[in-house]
Amino acid sequence: MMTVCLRYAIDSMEAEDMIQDAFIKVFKYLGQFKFEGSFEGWIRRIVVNTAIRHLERKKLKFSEIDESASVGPTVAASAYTDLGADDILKLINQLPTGYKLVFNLHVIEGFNHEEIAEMLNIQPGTSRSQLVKARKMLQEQIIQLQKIAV
Amino acid sequence: MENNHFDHFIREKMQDHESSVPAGLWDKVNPATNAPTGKVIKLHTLKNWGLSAVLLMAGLGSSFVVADSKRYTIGADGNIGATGSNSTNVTQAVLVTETNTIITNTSNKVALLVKLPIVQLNETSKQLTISDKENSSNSNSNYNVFENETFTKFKAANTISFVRNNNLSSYKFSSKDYNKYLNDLKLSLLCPGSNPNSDWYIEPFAGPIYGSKKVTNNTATTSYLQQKDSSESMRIGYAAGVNLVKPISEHFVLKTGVWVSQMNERFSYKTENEIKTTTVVTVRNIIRAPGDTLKISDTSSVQQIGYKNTVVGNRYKTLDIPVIIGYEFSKGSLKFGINAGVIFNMKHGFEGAVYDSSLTAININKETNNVYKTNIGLGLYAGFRIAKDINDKTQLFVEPHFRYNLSNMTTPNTSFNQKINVTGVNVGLRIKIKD
Repeated sequence: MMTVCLRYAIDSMEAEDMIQDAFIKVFKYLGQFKFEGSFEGWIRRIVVNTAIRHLERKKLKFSEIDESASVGPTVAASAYTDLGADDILKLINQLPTGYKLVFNLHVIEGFNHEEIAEMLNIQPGTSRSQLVKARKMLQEQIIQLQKIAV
Repeated sequence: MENNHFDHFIREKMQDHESSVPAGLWDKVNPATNAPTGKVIKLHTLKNWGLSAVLLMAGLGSSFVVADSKRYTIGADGNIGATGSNSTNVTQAVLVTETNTIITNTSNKVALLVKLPIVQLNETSKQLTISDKENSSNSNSNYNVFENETFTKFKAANTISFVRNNNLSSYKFSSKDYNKYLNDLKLSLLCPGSNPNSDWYIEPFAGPIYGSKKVTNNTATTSYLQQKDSSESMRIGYAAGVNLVKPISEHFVLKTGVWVSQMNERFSYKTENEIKTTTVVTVRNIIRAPGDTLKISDTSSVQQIGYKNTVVGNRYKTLDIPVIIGYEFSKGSLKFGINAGVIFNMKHGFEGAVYDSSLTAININKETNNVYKTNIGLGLYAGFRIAKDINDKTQLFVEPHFRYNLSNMTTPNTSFNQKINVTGVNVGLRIKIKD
């Protein structure tokens, strides 16, 4: 769960706040767990929602950054197979907040764009475009890493 | 790289990734360090609550074990299932990380709670018995939990834990039992906000009220009552106050406070043979010659005899102290409550006008009031509360309510008996003032 928070937070301090708040909620609403799904999923959902609320408090912005390229760069599979989870976590953390949020929710948590739109109070189209841009930015960062490694 | 491929790669890498939890984090969640040591929960209260010692969790959320020496004997009812799979799934892996933090940062007792599945707390001997029922060859271990710390602190400690031992996944509860255990556990878990018994709230509120008047004859004539009835009609008044709210269990709250209210009444009466006198002064100047002027003033009066309609706003004011018990529950994002109790009237006052026995309207104020009591005694209260959270500490609520006064508001010497029952709607905030 700490990883989940780290993926959404700007820094470890914020992630710590998030997980603290999330587990307080877990204890508070333990009685509402209905055995209708996995307990981990239930906790994870609380953690994700808490993270989103944290970000919302900071007036979440879905910024438009670097519209120049419409097609993402091509990344060879060999470029990312060596990447560890910690490296990916760092790359994700470098994404703008809006990109990061949508990318996390869609790619890692598995929410579809309609669900994300509802959670973040945005249009599904916005979610889609943020995802495309996030993915593109991540891939570019991986290419940069590849160049540095070479 | 195809997007799906890329997404799949990221998901694979990140979904099971674990990050270490900063040291001391759990202590911030665990309220034990903040629990006031001066306030010890009385043991007889704990008996009512039942003893909740351990919530142990394993597997994918369907395997909870709660051990309680007073009420529950885990495994004794044959609910022990087959030994669970030893494969460590994501749930366990993640939760174990949290558990390890508990072990690292809290006392050995808590660590033992985590490591061993069955924990029994004997209130008489004040001993904590920890045993591994899965492996009966292990000797039980006894720990005196009260030697250096109060029961409150023990309860506030991590009595909820997640389990690393895969064997524990063999303990299964039916969901019905689980809910029962969980309800008791919720009372004993002192995690922030989880224990309603440590919370205090205040409820400032205000709202409109409308009185329905009931008048019966005492010594008055029929014409008096008819005249009174035709002259008086209730108007919208208001109520305001502040409650102090103390949850006494998961669903029940106790309230008291200070309420003020003002019921308004329109009193209109007609007086006959009202004489209206108008004085007319006529001035005439007679100029008899230049410089010789005669000024004549005639004064006359005009009398008009007829009716006069007068409207007076009567005000019934009360100062009350309620004692109310409420049953509250949640449904969706809304919270509902049913409140009932008694209202002790502290002061009652009347200002306005009433008919005397000769059907003449007389003005009454605090000093001259001998018609209405200065204390109207007990009233019964019932209300239905609908609330919605505004934030973690504040609720907005609306409460339609009804107040039934048990005794008359008129003094025994008055020729009629009068009682006013009140219907209204309170709108207010419930604000948490103490965790």
